[in-house]
Amino acid sequence: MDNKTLEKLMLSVQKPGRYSGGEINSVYKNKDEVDVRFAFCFPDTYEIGMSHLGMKILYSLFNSRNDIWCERVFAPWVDFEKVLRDNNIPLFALESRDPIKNFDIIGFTLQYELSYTNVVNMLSLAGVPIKSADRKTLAPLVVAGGPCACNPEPLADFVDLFFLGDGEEVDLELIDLYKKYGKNGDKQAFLREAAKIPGVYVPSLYNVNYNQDGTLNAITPISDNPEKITKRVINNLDAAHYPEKFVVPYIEIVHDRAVQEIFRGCIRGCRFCQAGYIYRPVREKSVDVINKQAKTLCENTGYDEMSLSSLSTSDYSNLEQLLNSLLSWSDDKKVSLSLPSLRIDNFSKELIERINFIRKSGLTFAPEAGTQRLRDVINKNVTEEEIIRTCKMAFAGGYTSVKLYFMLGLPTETDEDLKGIADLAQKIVDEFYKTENRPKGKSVNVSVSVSTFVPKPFTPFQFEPQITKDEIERRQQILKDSIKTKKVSLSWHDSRVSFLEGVFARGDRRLGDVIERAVQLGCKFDGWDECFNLDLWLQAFKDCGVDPAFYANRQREFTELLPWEHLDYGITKEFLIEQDKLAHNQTTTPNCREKCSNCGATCFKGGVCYEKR
Amino acid sequence: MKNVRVFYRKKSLLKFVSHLDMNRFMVRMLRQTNIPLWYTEGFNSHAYINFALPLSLGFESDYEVMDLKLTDDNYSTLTVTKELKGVMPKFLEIIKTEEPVFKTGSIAFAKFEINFEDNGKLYNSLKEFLGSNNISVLKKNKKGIEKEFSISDKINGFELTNNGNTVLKIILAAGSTNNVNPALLLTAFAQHVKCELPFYSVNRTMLYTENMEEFK
Repeated sequence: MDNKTLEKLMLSVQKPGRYSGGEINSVYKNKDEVDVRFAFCFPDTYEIGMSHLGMKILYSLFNSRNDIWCERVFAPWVDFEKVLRDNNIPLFALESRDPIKNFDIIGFTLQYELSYTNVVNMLSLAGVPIKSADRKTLAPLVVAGGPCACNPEPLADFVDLFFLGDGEEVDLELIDLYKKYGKNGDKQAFLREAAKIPGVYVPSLYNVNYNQDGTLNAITPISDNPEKITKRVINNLDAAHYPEKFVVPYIEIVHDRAVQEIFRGCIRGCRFCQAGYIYRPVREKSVDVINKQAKTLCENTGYDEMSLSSLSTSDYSNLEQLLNSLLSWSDDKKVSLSLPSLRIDNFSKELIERINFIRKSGLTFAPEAGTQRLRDVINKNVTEEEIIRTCKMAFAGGYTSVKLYFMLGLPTETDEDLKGIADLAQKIVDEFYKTENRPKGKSVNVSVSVSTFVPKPFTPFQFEPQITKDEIERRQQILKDSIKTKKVSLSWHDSRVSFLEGVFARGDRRLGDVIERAVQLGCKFDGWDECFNLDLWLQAFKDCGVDPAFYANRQREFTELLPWEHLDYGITKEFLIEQDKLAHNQTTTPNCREKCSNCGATCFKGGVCYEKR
Repeated sequence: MKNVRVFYRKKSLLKFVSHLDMNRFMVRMLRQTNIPLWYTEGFNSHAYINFALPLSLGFESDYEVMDLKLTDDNYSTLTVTKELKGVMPKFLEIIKTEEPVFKTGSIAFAKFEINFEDNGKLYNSLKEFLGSNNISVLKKNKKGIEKEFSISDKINGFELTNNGNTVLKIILAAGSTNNVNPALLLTAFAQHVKCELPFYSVNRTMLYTENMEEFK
């Protein structure tokens, strides 16, 4: 396929800039001068994938080596997929436009379960056999990493090996091993050797047996590969690679700004939050390193906005000093700082005024649950007083809208908790009218956004059932009925999508057939309303004889062997059991800085576990 | 404050970059340079840039025009060119920077070169079509009502050649009030000959004032 013909075809679809490549700071190399060609695939659209920090870090890291050329690949939107299929064009990488089936390694990042069909569909578009067992040669080796690799079992049939934990070191170790074997190396021998690299999980080297009732009986290594695979952790983030430049897209992407990582992990331990557990322990970058990296990044990209990235900005141990040092140059350079998930109530007024925390997104809170009782169950330490106090400040400052995020279907949730959501929203409305210097002549809007709780592996709620579709709808109705004013607007996520997410989050290898069947039936972009089709999915489950409720809606015994128990993320099962019990007793757990709760993450010998308290 | 006008080519891959995206992209490129950009003084301060005439998605151009304001009156146009050349991607070639002569509103015509991949088949019918003096097309106005839109009176000369493929060089009315997009002209042509057009590429080669002076 020559470039001219390809570009003609691009002009026939929406947003051709998604496929054109050639952006500022994108990396071009001579393919004859590199040893390893790596296709970094993000199984969603360009706009989503290009916003992802992990991809930027690894793209820059891989390309910093002369012997590797890493290129980007995104899932083509349905219109361009049709063009590719109609014209027999195999999926290509953006930079070279070479088919990725000729690459050495095809790597996927797994950010959410609903992208699994896209992973398989991209392999199919690439013209590569979708199943690991059907790819006899070493190249292209199909690898995957990212948060969903903590339970990769549903993708075990398709992916040759998974990376667990931080990718910066282990990915390069794997590439070096690949170089040793070369394109024509013995794949089986390579996989056996790769499985000995810490953090590399080769699913085909583990046998899985099931009990009569469908639960797991055993997961056993088939040769001398380790029984448990431990995730990799970068302890010194200051010394870790960070991009000096980002690829700056031509078309507008979701997060179109410079992003500076400030720490990994989270001290909080909200019991529903997978990220809060699988990224433990908390490891911070120092103020000086952040400041220097952020400045370089802005200079090299021309971005006029920079956001700080972490799971909870307010928990950075030296935030005031960090902000002051960033503000010392950002004003001059006309760069505005934006700080997501920031608690503002303990900041000075001057500082708040200088930060762009409110302009873009407005005032947002995530209480997650409607009553203090349920917030204690989930260990979410946002109190009503804090929310009201901050709203009061904002209203006095001229703001008239507040956004609140909640989850529906949390363990132990009662109808009272749902009514609590409406009550909290009402109190904020009342607070607006109590504020004396509120904006005159304006009304207040409190928007309540409700998603459905999905139990995730490596959280205390990994044992809990997800509530059924009928129950979700009943609870949504209760919530709807308890909101009495037009000043509160209510919206929710599609419960059918959450159900599918629930199935795959805690799925096992038997779901591989279902994914394959769903892709055959045309499922793709399941996270997109315009593409999601539950009927096709139910068809796929039926065709494969798999009951999705077994995965989503079933209470697991503490003694049950879970599909991810051969993967070691530091967190012990005993800790998760204890936390689940505490949840049912409405007992909270202090954060990592207040007191160590012995989750197990000290085994990584770094981060907050070894800070002075 | 000093006004400067940058002339550049927008080629190849950059035809996939829409006008709106181009705006954002240019600001980022400018911010990577040392050019002393003037920022607007409103609540939402941003770097001031202005494009003389938007270019449709899918078109290339050999004569694009962007106006800037500089805070330093002594900053030379040569340095602007040099700074921009240092950051621009391959397919955005800076031609020159000058102090503006005309106001952007004075643009009245644009010249396009259209290459058809037709093996010369369209040459005769296109020649006949462009020779008639009653070309018009139904066009929806902003209210969604279709109205007859006359094109003949907005063509200011053309040149048709056949070098194996048909090549049309044509000058069309351009600007904020009286603009004809070549795609519209070709839609009218396709309706006239009642067939689908082969692939064609469009390159905008020059902008002119009312008196057919090159826009500077």
